[in-house]
Amino acid sequence: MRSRYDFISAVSVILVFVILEAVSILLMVNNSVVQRFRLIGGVREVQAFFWEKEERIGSYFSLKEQNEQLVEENLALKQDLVRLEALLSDIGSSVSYTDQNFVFSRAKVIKNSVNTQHNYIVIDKGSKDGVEVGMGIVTDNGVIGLVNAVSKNFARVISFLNIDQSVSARISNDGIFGPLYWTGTGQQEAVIRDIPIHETVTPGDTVLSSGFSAIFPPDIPLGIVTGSEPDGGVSRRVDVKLFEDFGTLKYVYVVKSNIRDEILELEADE
Amino acid sequence: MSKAYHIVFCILVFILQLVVSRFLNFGPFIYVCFIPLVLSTIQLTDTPQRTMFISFLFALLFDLLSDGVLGLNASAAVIVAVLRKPMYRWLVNADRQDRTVVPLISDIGLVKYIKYLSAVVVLYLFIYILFDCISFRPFGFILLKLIISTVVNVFLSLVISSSFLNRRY
Repeated sequence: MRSRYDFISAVSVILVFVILEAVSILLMVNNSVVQRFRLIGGVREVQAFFWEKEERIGSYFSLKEQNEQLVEENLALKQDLVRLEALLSDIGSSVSYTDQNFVFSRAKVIKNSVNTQHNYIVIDKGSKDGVEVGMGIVTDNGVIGLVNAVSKNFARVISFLNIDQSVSARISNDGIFGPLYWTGTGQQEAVIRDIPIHETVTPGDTVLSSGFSAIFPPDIPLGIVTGSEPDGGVSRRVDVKLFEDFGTLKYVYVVKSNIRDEILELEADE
Repeated sequence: MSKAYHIVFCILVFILQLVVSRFLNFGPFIYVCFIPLVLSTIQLTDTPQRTMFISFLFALLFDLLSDGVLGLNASAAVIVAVLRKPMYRWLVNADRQDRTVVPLISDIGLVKYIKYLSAVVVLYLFIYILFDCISFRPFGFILLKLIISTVVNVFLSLVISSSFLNRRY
């Protein structure tokens, strides 16, 4: 009985103390700007201390996602840098920029098919804009296709989403080369075939254009390796997820290669 | 000491405090405050809750009339009120059977009284100066103000209590 009384007494002392002290501090804060800022500043410091700890723990567990995001942002910035540097050296033209042996000009997609095994695209640039058969079409996210017919104002492009099309590709970290084909199923599913079976491929590696074709510039990001498996007995197939979403294409670049004719001439001499 | 005398004493100290705070300026390092003296004379037999209420109201009234920051003295007084009795028991070496109602020099001796009074004054001034100056003044200034103010206040409080707080009244 006595201990219960002592407990109630102690609780009431604490309660009264807290109430009176809180009232005093409230009066102080409401009647003095200096004390108000000091108290709020002190409270914010304590809050910030705990928020920082919480943020550190949270960001440690999201490092992988942040890394992936940074890689994407870095890629976009690099591409912007190349374009802007080229723009600075070619101020007279409003639609084109150069990248050493390649001249890029922007075009708009006015028709795009993605639902068949042999898809095509129509762009709003034609012969009057300097577009020729055999020119490559690219975006920041990949190779789009090859021009196969040109009129005065428009050009028809065989899309990469065509089971007969391929692009010479290189797996970035491993340095392995091979032709990249569309699988014919999902819009972002592609495969590199004829990789020697002894080569090891790491999922997550970036696939880039090799530049061997003289149609497309090198190092255009195409996709990411998702896996690999033996294909037949002597080669390996590498599954690739494409960066470009062909269903949402709006603007593309027409690539004019300054060295293509020279290379074709050399090949013909053989 | 009779209750009536005690009340008159508290009122007079209150008025003295008002006069000192309104009309006298001792510089940035000295804060003259007699509120701890009044708090130290609250009966030890009072419950902690009652002591806190009395201290709070006394200090708040002073805040209201002195044109200072409202609640500053009150917040320090409440803390002193709750810790006063434990400090008395610890410093005066009193046990729970001690029947002292109001600590006086004649009851507990000069040395113990100075210890008790100094502790009350230091605690009060520490809380007051902390709330008044923290993050606004450097630590050295706060420490210096605390030390100098404590010495001055303990001396003045001792003079007043030895002159006016006596059993025969």
